[in-house]
Order: sequence, then structure tokens, then C-alpha cells
Amino acid sequence: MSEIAVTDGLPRAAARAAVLRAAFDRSFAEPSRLDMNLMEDLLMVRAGDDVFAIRLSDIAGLYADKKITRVPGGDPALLGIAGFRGTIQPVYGLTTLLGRPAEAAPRWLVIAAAAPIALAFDGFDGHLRVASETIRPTDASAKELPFARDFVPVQQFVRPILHLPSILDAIRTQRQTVAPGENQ
Amino acid sequence: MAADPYRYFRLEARELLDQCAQTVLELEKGGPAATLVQQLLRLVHTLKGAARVVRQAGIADGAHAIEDALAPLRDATAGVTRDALGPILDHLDSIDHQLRMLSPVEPVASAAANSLPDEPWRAVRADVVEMDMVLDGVAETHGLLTRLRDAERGLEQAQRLAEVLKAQLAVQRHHGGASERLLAIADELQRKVGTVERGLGSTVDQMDRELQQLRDAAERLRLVPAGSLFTVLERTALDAARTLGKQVKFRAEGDEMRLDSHMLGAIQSALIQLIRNAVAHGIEAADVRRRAGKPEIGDVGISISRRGRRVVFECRDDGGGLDLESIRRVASRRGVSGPDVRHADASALVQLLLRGGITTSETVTEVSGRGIGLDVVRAAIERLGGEVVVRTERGWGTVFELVVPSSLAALEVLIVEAGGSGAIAIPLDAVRGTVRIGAGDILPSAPGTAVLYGQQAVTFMALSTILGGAHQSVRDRSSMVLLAGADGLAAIGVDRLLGTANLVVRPLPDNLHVSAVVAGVAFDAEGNPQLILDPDGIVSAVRHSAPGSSDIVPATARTRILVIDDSLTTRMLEQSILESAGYEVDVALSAEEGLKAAHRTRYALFLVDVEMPGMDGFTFVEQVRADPALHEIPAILVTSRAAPEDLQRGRAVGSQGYMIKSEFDQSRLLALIKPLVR
Repeated sequence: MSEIAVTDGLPRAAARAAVLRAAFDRSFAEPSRLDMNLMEDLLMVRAGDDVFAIRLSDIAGLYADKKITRVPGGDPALLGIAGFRGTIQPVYGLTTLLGRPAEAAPRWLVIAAAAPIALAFDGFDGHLRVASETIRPTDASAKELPFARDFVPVQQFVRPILHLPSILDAIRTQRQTVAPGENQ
Repeated sequence: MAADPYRYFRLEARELLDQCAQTVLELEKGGPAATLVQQLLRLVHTLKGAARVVRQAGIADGAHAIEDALAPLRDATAGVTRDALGPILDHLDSIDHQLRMLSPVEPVASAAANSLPDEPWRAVRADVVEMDMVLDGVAETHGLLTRLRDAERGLEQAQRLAEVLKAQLAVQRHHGGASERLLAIADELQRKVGTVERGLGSTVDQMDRELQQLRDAAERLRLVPAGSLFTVLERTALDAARTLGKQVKFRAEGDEMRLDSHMLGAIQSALIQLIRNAVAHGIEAADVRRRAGKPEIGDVGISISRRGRRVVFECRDDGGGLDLESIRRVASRRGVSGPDVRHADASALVQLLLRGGITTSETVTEVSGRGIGLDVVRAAIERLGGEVVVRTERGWGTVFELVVPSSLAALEVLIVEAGGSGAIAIPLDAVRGTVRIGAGDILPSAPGTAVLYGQQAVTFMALSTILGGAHQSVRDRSSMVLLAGADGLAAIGVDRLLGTANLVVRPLPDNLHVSAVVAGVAFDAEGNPQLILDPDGIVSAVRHSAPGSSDIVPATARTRILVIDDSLTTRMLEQSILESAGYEVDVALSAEEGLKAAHRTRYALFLVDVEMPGMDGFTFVEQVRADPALHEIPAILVTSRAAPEDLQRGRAVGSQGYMIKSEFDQSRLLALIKPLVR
């Protein structure tokens, strides 16, 4: 009896298992139900008293408590240099770049994806994934934040999104004005 | 088993042949003829030189023949015909064949071969990128050790807590409140935690040492002793001399430096060319040298040194110097740079030489004569982003300096600590001495002043101030490091000397404008950058920013001054300022004592306080002016009395200067004294 039941049951169970396995495998192959093209990943960072957002796609890495070696030079925003997996990169203070009073020792660093430059800031408030449609362009008349082209509403606040390429451009311009040839 | 003498030649020649073939191909396709012919000339010229060094005459002859075939095409503005390229390709094929014949013989399995199974691998150099990955991995792992050290500290605390718990339980048991069993558990807990903590601690220490060794070994793999170039260069010099029937002696300095293998590889062909030129064009024939009063054997040499962020390859000879007139003539004839050539100065003419196409050699030989050589030098220097500096003197010789930015290099350094900025490295070869100093040894309030080192006054500044930190006064038990730079000597104040080390210097990030006092960086054990100072930059910064530095009296012209003051503080301050500026100073506590001293010793100047018990400063000066033995000695009065009538009285008694204590300033004092003691 039991042998017959097992024999009878096997094909059905095997077929069922095959269906489940196929569905399981397919779930990995299929695109996510959430359309990632319509989503933006943002890092919420604190510089001075303000919270800003940075697009995850603009950065190559996030570090905490990295030792910054001070270097003598003329650029007030340059905090020093730091080592990242065998490369040496300049570290700039985000607060100073944004025209605010510099904090004593920013704890967090992001490495820009577009250039080997690190930006230091005081606090990291977390990661946020938002629908692209919630991001709005900043009013062109908003002069007080030169590097913010968009903003994102977060709960009851509006957070400026820092445009990293513009910040990198500003650093390059600043470098050109500081004692050209000093490092030649 | 004998070493393979062609091991490196095969690699270089193969690479050059491939590039030659590629260039000919581009010529065939109608690429820019003048540029490509020039490039091809450079390649075969380098190949010819390399072949000569390893005595492969057949290959050298082939390269020479290609040069012959290319020479008429050098100024080809139109394309190069396929017919013209035919013989060149034939020669390239012939060289290729000869190169294949140089393939190493397969080692025969023998007892001798078995005894050195890894010999062929000993010279294999790893890929730079892979090497860097190893270094990164080591640095990251070293960083992780820090976390294990935190865990070790946590265990230490846990052990102490267990000890406290055991003590508490012992007290409670005494009062009947805790069982023997609980006490035993606490005891066991303390022992276990202690064992784990000790085990972890010794393991972490061992890992630390092992990783340090691994990192050092891995970094050494990236670097090659600069001396490895010298054998090839010496052979080049001797071969060229033999070919031309000259006699030369080759000298080399700087073999202890370890530099980036890529830099050495790129510079080698340029140095070979310069050495060959030095023998061919520089060193005169023995009879000419004899007539000129020089030793018959010519001197050709190379020295490699570090200059801040750059490495300098200096190639020198004691030959006849560059014949600038000949260069001018040939350049004019060839119309290389128009009519201005006639008036071009030495430096402009050397630049013409570097551009190639000019030779002052009367004949074309195996060694030189086509004017291609310096073009090879220029190409190598351009690739490395460096520059060429030439010094030449007719009859005395020529020095070519190839100055290239340093990529990686090993360096012996002195590690110091200054102003809380962490460990900072100073190249040891620039350090002339270190001295323990206290606040009394220098003027405490000035941002930069001088200290006496032996019999010499040396400009001084705290390192933390140079590095842009807040000004720090020198504390007792600080140290002074005496540095030699291109501008002379300077002394820097540091908090502590931590010891010496051998570091691998890396360049600063591109386009980062950092003060010239920084030469580069090195990674510490945890992968954090550590600054390496540039002695030239430091000396220059100290000497140019220290106020009063121009008032320093050279050690050879020391002048004796008598300071007369009853106040210990003022006396010491004035003595310190004057001694720091290089004067010899005697002190007297009263005007009476001062007069006695003035009769014993000849002074150049008196620096006198006005208000003193007994005889005051005015009277002292009056008596000096009345004394035939002393009346010519200038005197400066120092006083807190600033009323116009006091100043008037000072002048009336015959003082040459009047310094008010509330306005006391060392620079002003030194400026006042200097013209009076000349």
C-alpha cells in the first residue's frame, strides 16, 4: 500500500516541486517590481547645523573616523590628506565649501565618484530611497546654497540635494587660484 | 649555471622591435612622415646602444644600417614610399631573427640545476598594479588590527571587573552572604578572561610584527637600487671609449638610493645616451688633454640624488665642454630655428640640441654623430614629466642634470613630533645634528629667531609654525633639528624625536597645492599618510620668514657687547637676543662694574640701563665719553623713561641710541646696534 501511494504521489510532488523551483528561480531573474529607474538613493549628511542629501550615484565610498593628515597649504577648505586602500586623496571640509563656519573635526567622509577627492562632514543621518518624482528643482533665486540644484521633502522638512560635480568644479577652481606651482 | 647575460636585453630589444614595426606600419599607411621617421630613429638608436652594451654587433650593425636608411627621410614632408621602407623592414627582420637566436637555452636537469630550483624566478618582478593591491591589502589588514587591540582592551577591563566581583563576593562570604561556589565561579571567570586577554595580546603583537615585515618586503619589491643602472652605464662608457680610442674612468654616486623601477627603466636609455655623448663629444683625445694640462684619462660620471620632490640624475664629464659655436653654425646651416640662432645663448642652443637633428660630430660613427641622441633624452624626460638642465664650460666639461618628479623612493628619515601634528619625517641626509634645547636658549616670544649652534648663529623656527599651526613657544626639553638645505642651514624646533626609519616616499596627489616644505608622504603601519618634509623648502621657509634674520652676524665677524643692567630679566633678555644674533655678550650688574669691565676688555658697544642703584646710565655714558680709552665706543640707553627731556638728556650725554622698554622690540634693537658696531 504505502509503496503504491508513494509511487502515485511522486510524480505529482515532483511536478509541484519543479513548479515551485522554477517560480523561485524566476523571481531572481525578473526585474524588481519597484522600477529602480524611478527611484533615487540619497545619503543624508549633516554639515554644521544643516542636513543635506547627496546622491549615492555621485559617491564611490563612505568612511567614518578616517585619520586626516593636515598639510600646509593655502586652501582654507583643504583639511588634509587621507589614505584609502593605498591611494592618497585630498580631504575638503564640506562645511567650509558651503560657506559656513568649519567644524573642529568632521567624523565622516565620502569619496567622490567623479574624482579622487574626499569630502568631510560632521554627521551621517542615514540612507533614503525616494521616488524620483518627489525631487524638485531648487528655485533659481535661491542663492544661499550654490551647490544645491534640487531638493527633496523628508517628513516635514525640505532637504537640499548637493550637486557634487559643482562642488568638485569649485575645488578645482580654488586649486588654480592657490599658489600655482607650489606642488610642481 | 651561468647567469643569462641577455635576460634584460631580450625584453628591451623585443619591445623596441615591436615599436619599430608599429611605426613602419604607420609610415606605410601615410602617417605624419617627419614625426614617425624621428620616432623610428629614436627607437633604433636606443636599440643600437643596448645591443652594443651586450656586445651584439650584428644587431647593432642592423640598427646602424636602419639609421643610414632613415637619415635622408628625416625631413620628408611628403609621405615615405614603400620602396624606401623595404630595406628598413629587411633589417628589422634580420634583427628579429638574431634576437630569436639569443633565446635562453633550456636548462638541463642536473644536480647543479636542482640545487637552485628557483633561480630563474629570482629576478621576476611583479606587475605594479598587483603589487599595489598587495600593499593595499596589508595596509587594510593592519588597520583591522586596531579593532583587535580595542577588543584586547575590553578583555582587560572585563578581567578587572571579574577581580572586583571576586573581592566583593569574598567580603559577602565573610559576612555569610555569598557561597563558596559563587566565589569559585568568579575566580574561574577572572582566570579565563585573563588567559584569553594574554593570548589575544601576544597574537596581535605577533601579527603586527609580521604585517610590518610583509609591508616592508612588499614595498621593497616596488623599488630597485639605483646602483643597478651603474653596471650598464659603466660598460657603455668603456665600450664607447674603446670604440673611439679614448681612455675614460667612470665614477658613480648614489647607488644606495632605491627608486621606482618604472622610473629607472624610463631614464636608462637617456642616461646611456648622455654617457655615450660624454665620451664621444666631451672627452678629448689623450694628446689634446695632455696639451690642455688635464689627466690623459677622462672623467665621466653619474650621480643620483634626491632634491625635495624630485630625483636628480647628474651626468658629468671633464671634457672640452659643449662647442656652442659649432652648434650655432650647424643649426644656422640647417635652418633649424631661423636667423635668431646666431644670437641664441647657451641655454637656447642646448634646447636646440635636445630637439634633435643637430650634431657637432664631424663624422658619423657607431657611437654617435647623427644628432639623434639628445632627442632620446628629451623624449624620456617628457615621458617622466621632468626637465633637463645643462651647465657647460669650454675646456672644463659639461654637466647634464635630468630632474624628474619622484614617484616612489625609499628614504632614511628622522621621525619627529611637533605641535600635536603626529609623526613627521625629515630626510636623514639633510639632518646635521639634533640638540636638546630649553626656552632660555632662544627668544621665547618671536615666531622665528636664531640659536647658536657651536660657533654659528642659525635661524630658528618651531616646526609647528612652519606647518601653519598656531605659534608655539619653545618649551623646556624640546629638541632642535639642524637642517642643511640649498639655501644653507636652519634650525627647527620639535617636541620630540621619535627615531629613524626607512620609508617609501609617495608623491602628493596631483594638482594639490601644498606648501613647498612638504616633499611627499609615506603610509604608516595603518595606511594613514605621514608627511615627509623637504629640507630645501624648510630651510627656505625658515630663512625667509624669520624676522631679524638679516641681522644675524656671521660667525666669522663676532663682536663683543657689554650689557649693563641691574634687572636679571632685562639682562637675560638682551643677552639672549644679542647672542642669538651672533654677538658675544658680557654682562655687568651695575654701571660701576660696567666701567671696570670696559677697562679690562675692548667692547664694540655698551647697552646700558638708565635707572640703576648707584651710578645711573646717563652718568655711565658721560664718564665713557670723558675717558680717552673708551670715548669712541658707542652706547645705547635702555629705559622706561619716555619723556622728551629724558631723550634729550640721553643725546646730550653722548648716547647713540635710546630704547624705551615699553616699546622693546628685538628687531629694532638689532637694527639700532648693527650700524654702530660695523
